[in-house]
Amino acid sequence: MNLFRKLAALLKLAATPRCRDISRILSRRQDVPLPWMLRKRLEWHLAACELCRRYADQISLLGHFARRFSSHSCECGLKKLSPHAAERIKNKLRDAKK
Amino acid sequence: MSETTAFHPENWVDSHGDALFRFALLRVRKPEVAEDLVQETLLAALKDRSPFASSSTQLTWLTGILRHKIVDHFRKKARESSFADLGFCEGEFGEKFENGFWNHDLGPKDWGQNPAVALESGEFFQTLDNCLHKLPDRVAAVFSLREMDETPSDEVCTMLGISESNLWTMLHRARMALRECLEKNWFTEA
Repeated sequence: MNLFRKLAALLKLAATPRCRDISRILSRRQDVPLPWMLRKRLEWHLAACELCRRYADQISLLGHFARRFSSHSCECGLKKLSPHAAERIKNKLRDAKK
Repeated sequence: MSETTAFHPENWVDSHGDALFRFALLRVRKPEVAEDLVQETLLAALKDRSPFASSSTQLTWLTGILRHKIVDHFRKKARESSFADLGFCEGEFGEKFENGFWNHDLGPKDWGQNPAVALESGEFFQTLDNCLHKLPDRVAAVFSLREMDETPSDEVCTMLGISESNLWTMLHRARMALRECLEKNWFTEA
């Protein structure tokens, strides 16, 4: 019964998604492949809704920004290991090498 | 490569210490935790040493070890207390919607023709860093695992012992909050 209710809720969401639901679905799309039905509903909504298209592009950019920020080649304000910590680690390594 | 040039692990600190520290800091956020993880990484590397031709392959190798150390750190946190954080951004910016549709004045703003040029600005990364710091630790952790490291969702759930629906909720709120913060502080700044 519970499963039936869940399924019904899912179908309802898929049938009449509004922007607020769409924003959740768009986030989920960044993480897992969506079921075919949901994908179609999403496409139809996006075709008609400029603000949701915008939102979709922007949250996908977030991932792009985050990956760039975390890459070693990013020249984005390097935070450095403090001299104190560097010295401590060097000593540990010297000890461990013995 | 001769043994003498191949093996001065203290030099790793000079050549790769900053890069590794930054990598860890972005994910765990506390400098003292990041320092410890760098130390553990280099000590583990010492046991598993193999000579590397170039400095960049060495960094890749060390980063691989560090990545595992970071995951272990998150796993340990998850064992101490639940990793789910459903309190952050609970309202999910409900005020931006009217009957479930975007309120036109409050919905997402235009970020211009080519928002990706932001990546060419050092200042942009400062803004991004500030915005990331507004996320609570656990929310930031799942965001970094998914978006920086591209760890599959099911792996993140298993690693942290949280349900998929909790993960999705946390990620959805993280994205909403980050998007909002960047929009306010970078893309529509007067």
